[in-house]
Amino acid sequence: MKQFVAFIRKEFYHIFRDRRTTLILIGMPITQIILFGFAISTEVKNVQTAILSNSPDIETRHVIDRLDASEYFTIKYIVHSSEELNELFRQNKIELAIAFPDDFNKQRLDTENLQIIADATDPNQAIIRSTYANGIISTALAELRQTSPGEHLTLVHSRLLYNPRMQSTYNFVPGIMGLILMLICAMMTSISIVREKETGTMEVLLVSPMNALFVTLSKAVPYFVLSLLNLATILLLSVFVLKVPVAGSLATLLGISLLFIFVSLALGLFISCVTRTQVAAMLISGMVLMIPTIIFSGIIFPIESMPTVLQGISCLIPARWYASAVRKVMIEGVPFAFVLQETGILMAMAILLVILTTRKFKNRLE
Amino acid sequence: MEHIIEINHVSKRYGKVKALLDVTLQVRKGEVFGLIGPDGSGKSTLFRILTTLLLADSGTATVNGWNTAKDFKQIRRIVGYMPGKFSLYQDLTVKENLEFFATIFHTTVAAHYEQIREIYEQIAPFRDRQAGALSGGMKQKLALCCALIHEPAILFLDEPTTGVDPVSRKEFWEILRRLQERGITIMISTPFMDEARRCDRIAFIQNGEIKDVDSPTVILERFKDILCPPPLTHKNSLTDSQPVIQVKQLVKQFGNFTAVDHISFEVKRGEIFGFLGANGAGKTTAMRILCGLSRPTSGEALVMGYDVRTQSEDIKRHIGYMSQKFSLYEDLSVRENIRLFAGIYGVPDKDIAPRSDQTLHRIGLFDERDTLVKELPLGWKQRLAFSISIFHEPRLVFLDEPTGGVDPATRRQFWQFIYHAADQGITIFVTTHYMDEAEYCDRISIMVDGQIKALDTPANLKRRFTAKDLDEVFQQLTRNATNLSKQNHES
Repeated sequence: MKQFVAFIRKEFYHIFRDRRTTLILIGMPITQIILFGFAISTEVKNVQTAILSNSPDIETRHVIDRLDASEYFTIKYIVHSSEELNELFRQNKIELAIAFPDDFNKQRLDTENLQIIADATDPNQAIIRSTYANGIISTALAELRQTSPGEHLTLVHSRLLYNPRMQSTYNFVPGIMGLILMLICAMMTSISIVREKETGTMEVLLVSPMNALFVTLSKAVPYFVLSLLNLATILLLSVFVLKVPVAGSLATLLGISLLFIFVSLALGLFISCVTRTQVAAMLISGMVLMIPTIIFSGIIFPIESMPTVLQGISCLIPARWYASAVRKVMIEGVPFAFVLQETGILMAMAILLVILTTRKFKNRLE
Repeated sequence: MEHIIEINHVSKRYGKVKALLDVTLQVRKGEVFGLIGPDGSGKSTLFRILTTLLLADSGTATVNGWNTAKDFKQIRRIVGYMPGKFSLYQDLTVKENLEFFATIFHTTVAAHYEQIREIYEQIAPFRDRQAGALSGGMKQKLALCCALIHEPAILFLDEPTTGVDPVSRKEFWEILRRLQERGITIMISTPFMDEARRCDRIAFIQNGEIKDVDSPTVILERFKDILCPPPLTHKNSLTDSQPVIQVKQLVKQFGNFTAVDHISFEVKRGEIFGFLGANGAGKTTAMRILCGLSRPTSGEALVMGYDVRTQSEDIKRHIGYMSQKFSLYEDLSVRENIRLFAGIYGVPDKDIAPRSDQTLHRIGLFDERDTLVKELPLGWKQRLAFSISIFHEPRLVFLDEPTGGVDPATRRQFWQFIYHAADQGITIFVTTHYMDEAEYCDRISIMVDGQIKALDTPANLKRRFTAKDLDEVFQQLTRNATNLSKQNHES
């Protein structure tokens, strides 16, 4: 036990005396959350919009007002010819335009008479923006129809569950949690073990009465502690700064996180067993763990829209299952029974990694 | 006589490379047993097998009666081990390192303080300093303390004094001697022949085979061609009064600490100038300034007429530089390395091919021209690195400890290449820890605490200090330098 404490104390000295490591461990979760929370956003907000209209009637006015009143669109220009509109698009001054027919108030009040033009440089955004615009215009037109009697059209109502305000933070917080926990546990642990191999101190540790497996495990403990701290930081930041609620049970969320941390630590130990240099450990954890984690945990790309082959690969990434479970528990607030599949798969991964690591583990050099 | 270590027909290979071939050896209880041999001869492999870090392919080895393959747990309790590199945590302080190693050996510093008291008292003033900031000699003492803290019965020391200055080496051996008096068996490898002489018995190992085991006098006599080659004689005919390096009152300060303290000297054209000093005396700092890599705080230095302060780019173009740490790309072949560095130094394309063939023939590496550098023995790499550093025909070349870690015969061979270059009119500026190499220089300077304390020909220095060799001169000059000031210079 005394050996264990000495080991952990030493490990913390290493961490806090190396400014880079400290910065990664403490600064990373905060920066990531802030970055994704405020800078990188897939939401539609303040889209620069132009209106093409030659009929300053009350109906046109109503639709324009409704668009402008929403937080999604800002009406910047009202033009009178399609040439002007083209010019605005070309100069990148607008991202979206709505074209009204000349005698809008005389026609049937329906969306089919209107044209929504979007800059599709970013196709996903273009589709989302035009859908939003379409929705607002339909509502505005329906209001107009109610004030002008004689027509009875029904509208299809859509309702958005769990994330009614369509905030992208709801989607990426689980992904970021997966990413950061993976980074700290797998990458930092493997690097810190391999560093001892490189500097030669591992040789001295092996030629001591300490059991080599014990040496390795005690190296993982500080990173375990730090990842718990980070988990708490991320959760607090998302709840209080990004206003993402924890809808489900906190205990379930923490339980699954612990399981994922365990998987990541096992991965880190496994990497440290099969590599000899810090560079190799860094590359393996960087290329083989981080990038797939970013791609496949659904932070940026939805897994459902990936080709089948990639979906298959994504099944091998622990963070994918973790992010999915967190999304369910934290955002949807479902009970534990609904994340049994994810829990089971993570559990299986943990067992497999522990077996592999103990197989690969050596009490000697080489 | 009781044998505490017995090695019977041990062989070990890494892939195709044979590291140890049918090694049979006994070490007696309580003796200081030396393992002498060129770099890559299998010394470290043998240490690792005995410390249970590696398994032998065939044969058996026992330490204190325990089999290294089966009883590794028992063996690990009773041995102390210092691997080749300083096996300390650079970012932990002296005290933290010691306490950590005490704990993992299931003991405390207090319980065994007597064991290490004598050594520890020397480093105690720096107990709160991080190990990375200690000088070579201090690191080595700390590493020894860490290896001794659990009172091992046997100490395995793998080249503990490489890169350590002569004074610290001498102190280190005095410590070993007293450990022996307390009954500890010591097995040590060393590239220094004066250290080999201090062992009770030594084994000469070459290409993985034990050539002979006997008392140092017998072994050194039997293998004198390799271990104690006759001194080189060199008549310097080209030296004229024209100075290549002129240094006046050069100072370099880091914060409030003076690394180079008002040094002045001149090096003449065609001269072989030895730049000596203990670890941390300021040699490397001074050399960096002369190479144009670092700016002096005050003072003047002209290298081939260029001012180090303003014309460092001109200096870099006209000098050659070889350091032990960085010299060659290991994953390129011999010829590719030459081609690369020739290109970097702007040798015209048409000259590269004929000149590299000529160079390869001269250093005897023509048949190895397509071999990857990492597969060459260290001595050959050094020879290659030196040839590359003078490939662009500079008039001045800086060599920073060019021959670390190789046996005397290889070093002597290396110096023949240096002489050859000097005969072509190239000025040589060299730092070394080997006193026999210092004798090969035309003139030497000895730096202590940032100042040049002596500068003359080796013969004159010996006469002035009434010393039988340069080692004695060096000892006399540096003995007075306190450990404290040595420390300050390192940081």
